[in-house]
Amino acid sequence: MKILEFAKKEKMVTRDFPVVPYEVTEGFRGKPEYSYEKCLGCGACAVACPSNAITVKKDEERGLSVWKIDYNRCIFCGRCDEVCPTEAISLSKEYVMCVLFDKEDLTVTGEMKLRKCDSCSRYYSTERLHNYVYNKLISAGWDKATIDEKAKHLKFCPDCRREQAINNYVNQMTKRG
Amino acid sequence: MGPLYTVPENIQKENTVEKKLAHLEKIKRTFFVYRVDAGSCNGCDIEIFAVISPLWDPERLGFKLVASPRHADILVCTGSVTRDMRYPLLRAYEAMPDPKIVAAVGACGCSGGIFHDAYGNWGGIDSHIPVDLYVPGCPPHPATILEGFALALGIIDQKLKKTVHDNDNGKVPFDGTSILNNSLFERDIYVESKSLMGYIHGRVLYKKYCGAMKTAKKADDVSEVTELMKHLVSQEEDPRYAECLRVLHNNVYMQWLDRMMIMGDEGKNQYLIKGA
Repeated sequence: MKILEFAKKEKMVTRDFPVVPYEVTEGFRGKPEYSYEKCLGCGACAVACPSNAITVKKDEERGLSVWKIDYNRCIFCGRCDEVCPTEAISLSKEYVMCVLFDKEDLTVTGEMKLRKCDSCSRYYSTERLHNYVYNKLISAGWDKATIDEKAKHLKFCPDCRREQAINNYVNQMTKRG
Repeated sequence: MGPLYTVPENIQKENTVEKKLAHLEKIKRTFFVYRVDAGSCNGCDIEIFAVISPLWDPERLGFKLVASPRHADILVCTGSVTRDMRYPLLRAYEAMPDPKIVAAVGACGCSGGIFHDAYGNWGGIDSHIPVDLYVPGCPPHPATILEGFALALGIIDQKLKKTVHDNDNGKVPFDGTSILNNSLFERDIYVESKSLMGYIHGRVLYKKYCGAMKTAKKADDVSEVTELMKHLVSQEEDPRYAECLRVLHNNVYMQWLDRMMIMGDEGKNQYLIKGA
């Protein structure tokens, strides 16, 4: 009975958790929140993800780049948050993420249109990434001729770009003699 | 390779989703939980024991740990299944009374987690036995685990649903406007803030700096910007942010004025913000 008196004096420490939401501390690493509007489909997060929770796959038939995060595998390290250039994925304070029966409920998918190379018409990048890089180029303070010169290379896939660079170099060399 | 373990037919018959749901609804009493560590790193187990502490007190929901799977209603499995712990896991599963409800706790239990492609590892719990409740996290927060049990008992509803975004309109989150009419200035500020304060606080610093710069009428008017930054630094409560804002102004902004031929080295000293 003594312990009951003691317990009355002290405050109750138990949290009313499922009824009252738990308030997490500052800097809590919760569920990575994905913002489809900001995503470019560059795939930096997929490269950085140590547990391969984030995958970016090319769907050639539909011409889409499929970005997918699987919270089942996520270890909340924040590497994706660190590398994302547009803050499209960032760790939130959300801790409520249990699901019953279906594992697929814990996935988020974003589909982005792919862009074809102007020369070999193969898919090489997303439309958004191309637009983003172009916007960055035109705002980098160059004159119009330089921008046009640089923007020309944006429209080709890395293979074609390399080929053109070699051809240009060879042409210059042969002209020089 | 086929499945490593096929659930026997008599167990399958007793473990349909309808029967499980009916059983979960029926649990108005204490539910017994048996915990299997199928090769985890012990992080999830420590969190499960943190849940059992008085701070969270799951016994008010009826949660009770038992020592034998024969008494258990719910089997809580942690860890990606290692070769040696697979057989004990299957034994515990078969020893449970029907209908068996299995919860996978932690990223490893849900899908293999960070160890999904490791050599001694046989995948998540769900590649061996059927799993009903997934509690992701590495390790899951005690609140997440408790929420999982509350979800299984029908106290709260499931919040997450499978999401597919597929309305791509090609719009990008950058419209080409920038402070000094050159987005490379923002890039330099961003890189410098990240290297000064890391990616979390560096981003806050970047937003503070750029937010203040946007309020300036002319961003290349050095006396106005200096007054603005002096005000911002003096108003800043956190001395770390104040110091880093000072460094951004003195180094990056001044360098950019030099690069844009607005101001050279002479006369620069009066516009530097001095530290406390």
